[in-house]
Amino acid sequence: MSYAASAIVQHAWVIPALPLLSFLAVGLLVRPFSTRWAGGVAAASVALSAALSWWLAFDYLQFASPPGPLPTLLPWQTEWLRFQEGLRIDAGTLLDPASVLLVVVVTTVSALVHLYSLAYMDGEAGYGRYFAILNLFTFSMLGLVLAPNLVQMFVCWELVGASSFFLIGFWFDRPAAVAASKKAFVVTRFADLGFLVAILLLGHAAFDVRQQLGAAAGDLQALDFAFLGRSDVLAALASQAPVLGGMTALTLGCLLLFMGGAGKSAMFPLHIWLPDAMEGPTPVSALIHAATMVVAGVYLVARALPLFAAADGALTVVLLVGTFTALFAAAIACTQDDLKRVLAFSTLSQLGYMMLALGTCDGGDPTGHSAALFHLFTHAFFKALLFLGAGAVLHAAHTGDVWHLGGLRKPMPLTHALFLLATLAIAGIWPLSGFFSKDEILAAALHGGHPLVFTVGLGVAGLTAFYMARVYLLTFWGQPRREATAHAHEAPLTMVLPMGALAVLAAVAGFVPVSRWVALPGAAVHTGIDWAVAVPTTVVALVGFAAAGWLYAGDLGRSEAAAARLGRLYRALRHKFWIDEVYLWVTRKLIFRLVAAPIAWFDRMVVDGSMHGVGVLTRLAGAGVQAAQTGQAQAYAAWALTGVALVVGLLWAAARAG
Amino acid sequence: MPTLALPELLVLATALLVLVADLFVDDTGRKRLLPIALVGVVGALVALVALVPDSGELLGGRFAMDPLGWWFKLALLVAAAGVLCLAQPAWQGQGTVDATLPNRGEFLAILLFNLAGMLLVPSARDAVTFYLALETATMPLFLLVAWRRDAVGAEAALKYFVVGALASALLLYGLGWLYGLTGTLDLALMAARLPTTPAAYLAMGLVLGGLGFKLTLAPLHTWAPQVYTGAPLPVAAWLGTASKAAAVAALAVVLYRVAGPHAAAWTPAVALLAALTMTVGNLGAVVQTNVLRLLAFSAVSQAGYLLVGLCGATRDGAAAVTYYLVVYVVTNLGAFAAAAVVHHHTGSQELSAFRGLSRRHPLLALAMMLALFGLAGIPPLGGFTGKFLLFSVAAQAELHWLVAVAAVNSTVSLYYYLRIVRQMYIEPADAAAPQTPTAFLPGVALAVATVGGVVLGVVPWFYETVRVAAARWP
Amino acid sequence: MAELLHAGGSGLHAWLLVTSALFSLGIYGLLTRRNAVGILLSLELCLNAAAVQFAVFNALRAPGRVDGAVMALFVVAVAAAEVVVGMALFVLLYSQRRTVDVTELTGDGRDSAGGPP
Repeated sequence: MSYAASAIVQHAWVIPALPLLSFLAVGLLVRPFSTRWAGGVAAASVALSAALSWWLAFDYLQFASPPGPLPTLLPWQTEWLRFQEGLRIDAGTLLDPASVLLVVVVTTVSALVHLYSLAYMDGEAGYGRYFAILNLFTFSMLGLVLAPNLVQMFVCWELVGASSFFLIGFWFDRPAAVAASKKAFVVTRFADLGFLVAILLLGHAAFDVRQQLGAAAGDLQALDFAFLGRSDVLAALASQAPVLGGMTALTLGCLLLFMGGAGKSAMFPLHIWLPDAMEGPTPVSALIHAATMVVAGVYLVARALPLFAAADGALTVVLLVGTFTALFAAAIACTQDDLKRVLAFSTLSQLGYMMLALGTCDGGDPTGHSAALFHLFTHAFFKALLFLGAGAVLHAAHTGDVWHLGGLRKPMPLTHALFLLATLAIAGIWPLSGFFSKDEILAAALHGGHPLVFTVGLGVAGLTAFYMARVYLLTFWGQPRREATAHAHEAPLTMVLPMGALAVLAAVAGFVPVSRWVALPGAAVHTGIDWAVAVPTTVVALVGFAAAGWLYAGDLGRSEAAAARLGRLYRALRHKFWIDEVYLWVTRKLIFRLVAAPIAWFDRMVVDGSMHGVGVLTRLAGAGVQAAQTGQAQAYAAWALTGVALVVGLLWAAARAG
Repeated sequence: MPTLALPELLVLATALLVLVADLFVDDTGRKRLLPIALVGVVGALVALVALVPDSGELLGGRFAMDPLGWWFKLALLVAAAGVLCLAQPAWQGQGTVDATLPNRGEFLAILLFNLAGMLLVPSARDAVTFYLALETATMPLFLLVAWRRDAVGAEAALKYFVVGALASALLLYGLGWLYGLTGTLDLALMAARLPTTPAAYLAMGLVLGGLGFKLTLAPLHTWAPQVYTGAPLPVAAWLGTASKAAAVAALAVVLYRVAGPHAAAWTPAVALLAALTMTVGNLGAVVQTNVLRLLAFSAVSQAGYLLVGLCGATRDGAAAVTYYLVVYVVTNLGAFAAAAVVHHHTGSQELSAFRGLSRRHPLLALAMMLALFGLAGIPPLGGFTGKFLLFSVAAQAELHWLVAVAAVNSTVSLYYYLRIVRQMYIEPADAAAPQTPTAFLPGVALAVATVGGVVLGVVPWFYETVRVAAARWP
Repeated sequence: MAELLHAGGSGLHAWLLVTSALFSLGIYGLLTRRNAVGILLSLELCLNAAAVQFAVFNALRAPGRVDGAVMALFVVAVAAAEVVVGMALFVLLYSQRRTVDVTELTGDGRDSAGGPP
């Protein structure tokens, strides 16, 4: 049997085409007449897409000739733009382990989120619009994942950005949502300009290489991933003359590509849009801002890893930025009071993990690549589950502030159980999926010669356990701290079912041998548990849980009432356990006030503020341009003459120089 | 029958017909003149597409068709058809402002004569034709700007006139020097004989400056904001689309036909002008609260992007510029058409006039949003593909700094285009805002422009055809 | 430059001095006259300088041909059209604003030019 016999492999384009058709149909035909049908059609098309992608994955694995690595296929492509011979841009579907993996993740999570949204968004004005854009997003994300070249990826990249813009600003009557959507669009677009310049730079550098290679290049085009991944091309690119500041086009291009990826994957300091993006509907946060779109940057770096590996120092930058973001975001997550914001910073931190894993490939050992994609896979499920769980809480209690929640364990037993499972998964408790993927990342850091990064990663694992346990305990244990919370009820079945499905995936995803499938040549393949990593991570996670339990378990209100009743005796008892006080002082005062809170402040005031400052500067410059509009006709004429003098002077200067 | 000049002849015949018919009809009849003019323009468009070959000569080589000239003319005729469509409500006396453009028949005739001049620009092969075509493409605009005959329009037109006349004098003086240096008015011979002396650079600089006025290159752009606001809206749309297209055609003639061999000498100057123009345009647009001023500055910045493609005088560059010009004309027409419809409904040019538009006119808001996204260069719209091609020309010419400046600029531009989107989709609607339906012809123009913006970006045939045409040019 | 100025030894140098002086005077007037009609006159100077230049170059650089002279004729025609358009605008402006002093026309601010009242 071969791939030619598999209908779905040959026609993989159907998978993105379905949501696109559904977007057009829902947006133009169905929505004006029936919003209920709009949701149904949208969900059905994506569900079908998901079924097809499982079939695709099955066939793709089934027909692979065993011992060798999984093949790279290009079953369909069509010419889109032709700059010149050798610099042609095609649209197509590239099938390799990474893209098949992502297709499965994207369609599955998307289908579940569509299903969940049917109930969650019920009764919203703009119900049909919501589903149409969700479909558009799914299409664009699939196009991005399947892209055989950088340009198709960029086009879809921008489209996911635009759909994210509409979905964050879905509740356009909320000023915060509107501001957040604009911020997300402008910040990611700013990062995208790096991507765009990188494409132009790499495109022309690779085109020159292609001209040198002549017939050896075959039909591969300069911007095809297949071409950019060839070792002869990489060697030629690396030996080109520097273009700017001693950097070759390859190095500069990779750094700019990473700028684009860092914007989408919200790496420091371009992360500022993601926490605000939580103003969008929660299912959107689950799908776009946790499971799929934000991993696009990781996917881009993973796709272009051969380029990054050939470029001087590019992966070191990835490693540093990833490690820093992982730690920075985890520290901030400990200080946030809004359930969704905690999850947002948690997402940042986990994305940092993935980037970190990719960065560990800088020694030439591509093991981190497998670990990053593996973590991407597992994270998609447990983080989507956490968000959908948070959505169920919001739906029931109408608030996301953990200090207003509490005690939801009783009215929402199912949600509670699922949220707990996801918490354990993200904290890395055996045998849930996070355990395996996180350990692979840390193992890659440890064995790849980055002990410091390993240590930081270990610390982040502890922080992750701490902040997740904190929000979990405050949300589900104790007594309700608000009237509305007390009247919460379990979510409807259409919301619980997708969560259940995600929970199953989050539980078992760790046993899927993803890292073996996606392994690049030369990557170490883990067969068993690496005890040198598993023991410390588990210990650290348990310490994190214990710390959170110490601080937040039990009934916060009741303990204070007890303290009041017992009065002096209680206080005396408390004073005897001075360790307790010291412990509280160390954790609350020292770590919160002196470490985490300043980091959060720095994030809000400096990083976010500098973005605001750029806006202010732009406006000032704009006012300067406006000030030239004096209305004096002769001043305008003088400006015109100045312009002509400028041109003449430049021509003259160029002639003298040349 | 000289098929080659059929579009020009049809446009001129229509202009004369309208002018004469205006003498013999009453007010009701006058209302039919606009459809007649539109039929003439669409007829010219059909003639161009169906009958006119993309190369050939007339009048001993003084009028010539070439593959890219064909595309320039297409852009011009599309712009003319679009502008006539969106002038319809004002023409019929509907709406709150611009109602009944005074002396209506002449308005159409002047517009059509102006169009004929513009159509001649890419066909010019000697300096006389070139200069006359350019003057015909410019001078009627002064009158059209003041057509409302109010103080604001008159003042705007005066400033336009002063700067425009200066530019025209500089251009002419520069052409005179070129003539003296080469002893010929034939553009091809001129190119062959053009020396590399300081006098030649002076002459080229004067000519570039004169054309820069028409293309609103900074710092020759200062007239634009007031003129866009003071002119009747269809005229502003005409300035923002057709006039720009004619200027690009003229610049292509000068830079490719005359100065092509000296591309290395003028590329730095053109690159710097491009960077300056897009930056000034974008920064100026950021602070505007008047939609037309915003669109004026936006058009300035778009001129900067167009100029990027001319750097280096390569064939790829010519293809990119031509393709982006077509996209730009279609997209900007969409933006102006939406602005015109809103203007007719509300009588206001302020951004706040767009408040809550998505609830009053969802399709109109959608069309405007797509047009703005096209101008900002969001894929998969034509604006993205075109910008990508233009920037790639700069990358090819190793002008990396220019690529960076252009990319930063396109991000800044998103910021102010989103301000309009925000007004339409996010701000609540005024309760008092009228629910006027969109008139038929502006609706058609909007629909065509919106679909065109998407199709141009997605369907590869257009760029491929332009690229093949550029390979046989000049 | 030197080669050009001595070409033919036929007084081209002197003629070019005349035309460039005319042109510069025109530019100066265009930038400094307050009266719109004065600006128009200055503009005429510029255009005529260019026309003379075409005729001179025709006679001295391309003798035996007429293209430069033809161009000069066209320039005269265009200049006439320019005057017609300009005067029409000034009349309109005067009827609206009771002034043709260009320095008094300063409406180009963000607020002042907000379209028709």
